[in-house]
Amino acid sequence: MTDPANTTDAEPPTLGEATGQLDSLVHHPVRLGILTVVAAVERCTFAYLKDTLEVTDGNLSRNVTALEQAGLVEVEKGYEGRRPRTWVSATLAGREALTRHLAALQALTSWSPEPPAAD
Amino acid sequence: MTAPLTPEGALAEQRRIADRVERDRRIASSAAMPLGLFGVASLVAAVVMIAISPVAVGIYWSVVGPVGGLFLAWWYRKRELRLPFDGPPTAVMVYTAVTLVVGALVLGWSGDGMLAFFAVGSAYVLFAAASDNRSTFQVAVAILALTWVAQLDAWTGLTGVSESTRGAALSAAVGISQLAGAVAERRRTTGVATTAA
Repeated sequence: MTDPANTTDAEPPTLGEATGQLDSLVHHPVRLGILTVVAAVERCTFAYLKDTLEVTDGNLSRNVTALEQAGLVEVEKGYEGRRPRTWVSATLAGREALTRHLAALQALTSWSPEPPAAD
Repeated sequence: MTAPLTPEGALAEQRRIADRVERDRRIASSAAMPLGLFGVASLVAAVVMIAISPVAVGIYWSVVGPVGGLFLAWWYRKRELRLPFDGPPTAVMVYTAVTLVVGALVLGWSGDGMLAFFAVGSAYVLFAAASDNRSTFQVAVAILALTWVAQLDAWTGLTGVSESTRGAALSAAVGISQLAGAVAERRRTTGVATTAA
């Protein structure tokens, strides 16, 4: 599995390209965390996301809903025994969005301005 | 964690979360514990078979089976409280514990250690179902196949070895296969990639 953070293209994106690939929806700290977790597993529980990301129910719920409405995650409600469970999984679009965003971040961190021309 | 992130901060936070998920996945999916535990127990059973008697192995499994099964049920259950599983582990774990208890008590006491191994092998299938773990399932099937082969009367006739020797050899083979499975499981769940494909 390729680590997007370590992608080494022959032609790295320019600053403008990297900035353009940043996804404001994904860049939100909680939503970036959600996508990171669900992209790593087949699916996970709402409780696990809450525990891992250390956020409140309301905060997590709002951000999961935002990602779900954007088609980046899927939410499935059900029961495990008698206990209600909410499962969250990444869609293909969600995985791709995360990959693009991480690549753009990596490009930004490695970008350095051209040195000023000597007069 | 709602403050605006710099690119460096976002990547560092993403890596921290990915590392944690990887660690949790390793713990959640690892079948090394049941394989290692019963691998050692099977090797000890082989020694008991040779040093004491096949009947002693029945007694041995009647203690080790339930205790080991309940320990594993507790072990998995404890992690289920904190970790996500892709299925209902509670019912499977209870069924596994019951299978081990009944298998060890009823079959183990019969004096034929092979049947107790069959019960343990069946339990591994359930563990595999619970953890959705392919390597565990493969080891379970191997144990069951080995046990059924050993049960064939023709084998005893062909080899002409005593029942205790046959039982000890089988027990050792099962133990070694389980320990090999434990090592394979440890290796498989180490370094699981957690970033998006």
